[in-house]
Amino acid sequence: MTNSDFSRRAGLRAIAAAAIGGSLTGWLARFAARVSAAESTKRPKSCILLWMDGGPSQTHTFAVPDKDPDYKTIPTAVSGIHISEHLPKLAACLGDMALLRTMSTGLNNHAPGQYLMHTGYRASVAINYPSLGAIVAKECGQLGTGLPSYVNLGSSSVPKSFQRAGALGADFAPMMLSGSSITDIRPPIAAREAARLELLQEVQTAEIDRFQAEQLRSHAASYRKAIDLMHATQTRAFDYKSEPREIQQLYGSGGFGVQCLQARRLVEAGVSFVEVNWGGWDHHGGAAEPVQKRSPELDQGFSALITDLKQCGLLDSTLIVWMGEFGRGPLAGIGGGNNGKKGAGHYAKCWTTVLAGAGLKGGQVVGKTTPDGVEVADRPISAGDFFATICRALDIDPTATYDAAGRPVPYAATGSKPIAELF
Amino acid sequence: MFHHPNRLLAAMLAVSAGLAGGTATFADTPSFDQDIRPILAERCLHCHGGESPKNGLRLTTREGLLRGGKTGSAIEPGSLRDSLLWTFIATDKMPADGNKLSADQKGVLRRWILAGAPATAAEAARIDAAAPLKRSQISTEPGGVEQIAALIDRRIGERLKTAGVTASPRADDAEFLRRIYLDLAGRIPSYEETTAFLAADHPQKRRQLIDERLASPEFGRHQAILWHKLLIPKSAGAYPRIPHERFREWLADSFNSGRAWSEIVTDLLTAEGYLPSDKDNELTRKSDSKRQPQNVATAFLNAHNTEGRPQPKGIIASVSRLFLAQSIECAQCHNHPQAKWEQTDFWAAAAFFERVRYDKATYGDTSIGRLIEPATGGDLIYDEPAKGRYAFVPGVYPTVAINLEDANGQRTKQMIAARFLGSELAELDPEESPRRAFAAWATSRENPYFARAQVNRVWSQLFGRGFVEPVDDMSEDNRPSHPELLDELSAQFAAGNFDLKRLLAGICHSQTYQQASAPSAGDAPDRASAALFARQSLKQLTEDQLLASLSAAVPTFAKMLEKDAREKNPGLVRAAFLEVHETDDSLPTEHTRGLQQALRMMNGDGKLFNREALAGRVSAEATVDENIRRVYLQALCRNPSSQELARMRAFIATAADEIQRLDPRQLPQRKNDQPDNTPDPYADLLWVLINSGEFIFNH
Repeated sequence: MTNSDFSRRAGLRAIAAAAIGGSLTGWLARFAARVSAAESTKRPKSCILLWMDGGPSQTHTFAVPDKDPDYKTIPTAVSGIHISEHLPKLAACLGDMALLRTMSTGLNNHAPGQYLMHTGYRASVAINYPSLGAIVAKECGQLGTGLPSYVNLGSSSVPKSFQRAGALGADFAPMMLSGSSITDIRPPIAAREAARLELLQEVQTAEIDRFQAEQLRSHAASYRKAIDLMHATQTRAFDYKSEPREIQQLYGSGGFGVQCLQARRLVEAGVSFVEVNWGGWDHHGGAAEPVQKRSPELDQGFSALITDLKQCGLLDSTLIVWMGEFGRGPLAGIGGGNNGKKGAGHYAKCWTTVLAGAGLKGGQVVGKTTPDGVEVADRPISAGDFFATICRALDIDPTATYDAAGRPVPYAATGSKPIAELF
Repeated sequence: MFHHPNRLLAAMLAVSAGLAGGTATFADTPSFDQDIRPILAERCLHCHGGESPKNGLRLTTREGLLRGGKTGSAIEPGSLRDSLLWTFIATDKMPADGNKLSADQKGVLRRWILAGAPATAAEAARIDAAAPLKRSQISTEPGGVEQIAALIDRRIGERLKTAGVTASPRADDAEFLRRIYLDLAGRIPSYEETTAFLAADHPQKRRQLIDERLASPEFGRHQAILWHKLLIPKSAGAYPRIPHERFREWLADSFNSGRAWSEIVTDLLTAEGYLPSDKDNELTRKSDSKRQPQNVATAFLNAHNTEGRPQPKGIIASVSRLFLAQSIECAQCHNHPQAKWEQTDFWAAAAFFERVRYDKATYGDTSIGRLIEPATGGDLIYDEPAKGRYAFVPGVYPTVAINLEDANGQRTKQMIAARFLGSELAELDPEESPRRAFAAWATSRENPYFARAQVNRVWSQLFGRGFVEPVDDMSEDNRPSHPELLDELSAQFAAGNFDLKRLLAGICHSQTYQQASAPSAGDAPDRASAALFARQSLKQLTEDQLLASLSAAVPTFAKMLEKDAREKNPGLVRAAFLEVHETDDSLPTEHTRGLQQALRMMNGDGKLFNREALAGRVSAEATVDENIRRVYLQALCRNPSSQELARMRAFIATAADEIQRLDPRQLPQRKNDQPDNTPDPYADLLWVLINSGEFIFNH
């Protein structure tokens, strides 16, 4: 980027600032609040969600029962904790990971489960619950990075209902990145771009003045963010290929590994929430064979992320969440849908998620299942408790509320509690 | 039980007569002195009273609430959303000792804040006196369009006067024209339509335009798009496949032919038959010919299909929300904390749809069965008396079986018999179809909810907010901003046989609707004046309005869509556009689009802003000012102001200069059938105006 580009950007910002001058309500107030938050010395927390769409089998990953006929277990860095034999690199990282083996969330159809695990609430026609990503963007978002606070990798170009900002508003909507690059980032006609953008911002300033409407301020603010992004040097964060070769090799060349690397780069550049999407975990034909096939990629990408974040000094401020919408039936004939084989049926009664980083106490298993893994023997974890835990790990008050069409709604459902053992 | 032919009717009338008083008038408005102070004294003052109240918040006086504590004012009169006190109480974060306020106490607090937080009983009484009318005072003679408009202006004017707020001036012709097109046709007017209207010079031209737009088929299509989204929500299951296009056509025809709203709703609730295929080709024609009779109106009930049949609980939740503005779905699982509906109310209303099913098991089948309603409910009719409060007559009442929680937290299975919302047990004719009985009750002129629900929704369509917000929750303690006007318009709507066009014409004809959306000079708008309708609000174009408006304003965009419609796989570009720009219908006046939509608007849709986009209107013969004027008319449907002209002149000059200096080899070479991609400063101007907030909002 050349010097003249920079001065033009400064000019655009000045115009945008002038557009809003005088108003201390609305976004400027939020801006001021967040800038002062950013001035405090502590790095705000970030979150990377590794979303395993379809519902990965816990009994073929992080909760393999003793004497399982399909899979052997291996010891991990933490004595007494065993995981699948096909995840040796993660076994070595287990000191930084907490395995939540008694998730009990009740919804074992895909769409309701996806909604519940992204928002902490069951879908409702009355309230558009914001996705976790939007909550984190609102509470932990940093200004001045030129980047959006909430980025979704590898899903589609349009956010699904449970990936949206809902009642929190468009400021916290996700930037969807379906390929490896951002779309719509370059103008189709490059000529006279500066003059056009300058005129556009002038027109927006004038109409805010004329209509005195908050909506138009919000509209201008979205454009300002979009224009910032079009010119941000930080968009290099999206280009994982500029990463040193050995780091790229650490993550591997599979889609999941590359997304993990992109997520680390984005978090490093100041993005607050990144969702990594890996689909195809809906193993109705039985989980043993397909999960074994996927294990090396899962093992490499996930462990590389933990290791690399640690090396960068970012693990303490970054929460990694590994989950799907539910787990899978631990025995043949158990769980929703076609459940003929072990790990085939949808199972939300007793399943596993993994948390790592953000200063949580790693190296532990939370909850106890019956030996066959069918029932929770001790300490069921509801979706609300899980959300409260994530909030607290990110220094967000889980009982803080937002307004949804006149109804105050807490981030984590009323009555839920963070998992104390992790703090 | 024997039955009498008039029994159903008699029961219905009894039900509605009993209720009419209850919903048209409200409990007395609470005051701080009489109602709020005792609650606070009992529950809050041990922390928020005395010498050093917690957080600096002293709740001993009304002034103390307004002054608030460290985190700001505790209440904002008239707004629950801005009242911190309400936020804390409603979520039971306060009182901090964990003993939450009772539902009644919350209700009083809520009504008090909503009514503007009056201090004394006398003040509260004044509010009540100014508020709802007695039913008997409301004219039930259907009035003409002028009468409806006059009614609106009188009531809105009275309130503005009391509040000391000045109404905005009348919108100019251009603003009015654009608004009418967006509200009634779902798009902005074309260049030609704009110039013709602005040039016309006769006193009745606004009235004529309203009538003309209501008579145009675009009216029904626009209403159909709005209602299709409400009736078949995206969350509806993928199966059966709803023939969306055909259902929209059916809705559009219904609206265009001027059918009564009550008839349309009755059709949706009572439809029987097979769902037609969503595509029209040889294969589907063949299979459809075997699946007779067909009825596309079944789409609404079919959209509630899960586990092999349209589920009564989903149907009643939608029906009560959409047509009666009662949010009762929370009561499905528990008694509603704030509203009056109880769990039994929900299931009793759901029971009317208990017999709706398919004529054969179709779970997972590709050809959905015929939607029917057998005379008896099959295996769900039990021949033993129901336990619990409700009488149960075998074979007569449809019933649902449901596990209910009693006061001790025990769950027991109970049979709940059909009962209209808010009424005693319905007396049904055993020969009568239960859902027909429900439809007759729901859409009758005497129904206490039906007309009000639709009037409120139509008002919110045109003003961006209803008299009651949210529009699907007209519960008793959610007080309308203009109770008397809502009552009068509802009575008018019912008396005029639920004629939507007449209602819309009346509202559009009012001065209230025709106000400017920019505030009067020096008058800072606030939330309170928005609820007074002191100016027209700015409504974000829905994705459909945006698509249609871009087509009207940008010929290259329209061409792109035409090409898309001719593709082997037609409509992909269109669908992608609608998806990206999708809006949240519950927030019509808010800007809900973000960075990604801004990027798409600026950079996304290819090289649309070229010379071809100007449709040959900009010419070398015309003056620069004239050319600028034409681009403004094309994009924003108005003439530029003199300051705008001056600024745009400078922009055009600089851009033209820059283009002149371009290396000709860098310019796109035009081939015969290719669009003219020659850079043009006026195309740049068009791009700028299309990306302005003025374009993206209805104002």
